[in-house]
Amino acid sequence: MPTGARILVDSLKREGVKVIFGIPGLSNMQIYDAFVEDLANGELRHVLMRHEQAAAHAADGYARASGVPGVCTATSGPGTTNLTTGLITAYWDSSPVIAITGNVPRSVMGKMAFQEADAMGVFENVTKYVIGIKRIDEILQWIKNAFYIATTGRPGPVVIDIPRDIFYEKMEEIKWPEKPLVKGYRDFPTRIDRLALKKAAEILINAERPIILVGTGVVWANATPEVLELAELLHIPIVSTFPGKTAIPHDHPLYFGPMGYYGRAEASMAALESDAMLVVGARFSDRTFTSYDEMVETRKKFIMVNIDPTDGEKSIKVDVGIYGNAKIILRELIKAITTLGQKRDRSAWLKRVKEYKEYYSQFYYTEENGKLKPWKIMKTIRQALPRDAIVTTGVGQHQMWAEVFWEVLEPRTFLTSSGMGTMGFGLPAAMGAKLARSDKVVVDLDGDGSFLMTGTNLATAVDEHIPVISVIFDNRTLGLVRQVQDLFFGKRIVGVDYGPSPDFVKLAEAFGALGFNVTTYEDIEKSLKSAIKEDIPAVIRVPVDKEELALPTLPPGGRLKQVILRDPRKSS
Amino acid sequence: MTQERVVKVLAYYRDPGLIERIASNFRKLFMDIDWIYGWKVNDESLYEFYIGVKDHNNFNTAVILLSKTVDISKVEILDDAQLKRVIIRDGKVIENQSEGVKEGDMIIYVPVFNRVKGYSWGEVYVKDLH
Repeated sequence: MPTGARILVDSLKREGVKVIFGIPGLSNMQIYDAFVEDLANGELRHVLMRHEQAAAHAADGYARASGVPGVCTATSGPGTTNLTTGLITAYWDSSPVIAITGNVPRSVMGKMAFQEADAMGVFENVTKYVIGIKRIDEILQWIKNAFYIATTGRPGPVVIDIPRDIFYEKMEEIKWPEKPLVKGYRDFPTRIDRLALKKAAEILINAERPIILVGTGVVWANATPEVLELAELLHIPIVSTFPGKTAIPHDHPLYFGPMGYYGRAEASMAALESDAMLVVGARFSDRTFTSYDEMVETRKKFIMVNIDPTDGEKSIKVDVGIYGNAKIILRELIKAITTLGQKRDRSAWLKRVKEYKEYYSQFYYTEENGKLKPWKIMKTIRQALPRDAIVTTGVGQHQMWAEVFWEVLEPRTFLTSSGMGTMGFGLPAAMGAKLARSDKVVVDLDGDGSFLMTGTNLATAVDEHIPVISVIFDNRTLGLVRQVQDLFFGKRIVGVDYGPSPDFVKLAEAFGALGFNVTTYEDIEKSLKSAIKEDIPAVIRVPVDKEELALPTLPPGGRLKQVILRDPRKSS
Repeated sequence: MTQERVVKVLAYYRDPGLIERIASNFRKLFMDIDWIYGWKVNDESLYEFYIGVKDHNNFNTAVILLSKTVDISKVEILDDAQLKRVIIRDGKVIENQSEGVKEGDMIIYVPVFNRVKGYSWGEVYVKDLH
């Protein structure tokens, strides 16, 4: 008779799980005991992370890179609570992660037992759903349900919390569930609303200055070809949200970059100036539309294509909402446009957006003697990597530089914590991505502050042979906070500057990784090529001036039109 | 005086966290709950809750978010609901609105309304009752 732990492992395998990121402890070690043979025969792989937050990020990176849920596990108490930051990060960015937490036995639960945490209470507001398993027979159905909830509608993390005494119980008759059964949950339907499609088609055809705004929903729906086809059909420029930049190859002539708080000015200006906006797979977040009033005042028409019908009702009035799978809906929209058959000359509008791009370029691509400039570092890295290399980021100035300057050339190759802005995401997410797509070069673009938040997981990368490369933009400061203090808090810089510790090369070497200290662009290229060739984890430390700003930016609470392009300290 | 809005929530119970999640949905949007009561409707674990909240700019957002929360089947806004007080005293139902309340009474506010606007996982419907 199989135990609860064995049933859990088999349930996971039946859902297609191949990799589990985690750390064992008193309350989940029964799972580990159950999968010993599965590891030995190669049916499962366990990755022993150095912190549970990183386990969740790795599962998140796995999910974002592969399109299927990533799985992590933690023991009760601190192991469980350590998952929290990683799981809310996945939740905010709509990433399907399954977390299995062991908990204390039912007999002592709620009585301040050793390493007890109220997992249900902890996770119920930071995940899509949390399931407390009460009986062994529930494992079968609820593992299936968890994958269903995590992957349907707006994807998101689901926690399954299991008291450890259930792992030891045995069950005689196993009846594997054929389908999920979750009362009080429904996948959002895809509605082919012909009237709405015709109206949307007419708006796009008749608009003088239409624009397409794409978000990560395009990636989850695999709708990149449809977005490009539609844009090419009507000659419409495309902009994206920050995370949505992973949806569109940046060398496409109709793509003008991410708009928003730290986005490209030409994208934001084109978005403002447009008279019709087709929003695909994106919500109206406050990072993209920094002022809803500013966007409403443009009096443009909004067409929203979104899996979640309620997204169109939250902030800005949508003129036409078409809800469901973006790929299916865009195909229908293309048909509707083709049927109407009219085309408008958009050459003046496209010329205008291109002029914006050229105009703003003068502010982006500046040189300073003796300093490595972030835009050129990005360009150098891009040129040294294959087209389909996957890039993750930490959070901070380097992330904003990546937003503006990193060129995504294949969909699903740019992974960043955009919604929650979680420092420490980059390295573990890169490790997860590498395990999901082992054939790809995976590079973590990171900051010195962000990297050290989960940098101990470099040990895991070495031990488990997960050859990811971390490029650390090292300015010895929490640069983004420093920048805001400098520009908007009267230069009262406090609590942000680091000292000389650590030496990143020695740190990398101590972990058994390659360490590079580069001082020129040529060094960056050489070290990247060397790291790729050696095929072991590597850290490339790139010194960046701490006075360097992440531009464009906005004043706190600012509108897109208030974009700051030049270093204001130099003009004063 | 801030107008009160009344919502009816139909939800499937799996654990008491259901009540927490309904309440936290309003908490996260800076809304206060005036009263809440609910009961089990059937043996399929379906529960219904009636909730009175002070009107708020976030009211519609709260309803929309709640309507796509796992375990929640639907959320209905009971438009212009008037609350009828019912006292249950010693097993007797007293509907007289001027009756004073005594210790040991059970008080239930029964919403009387003409129209509901319902939300359920992206579906929106309106029902005129009269």
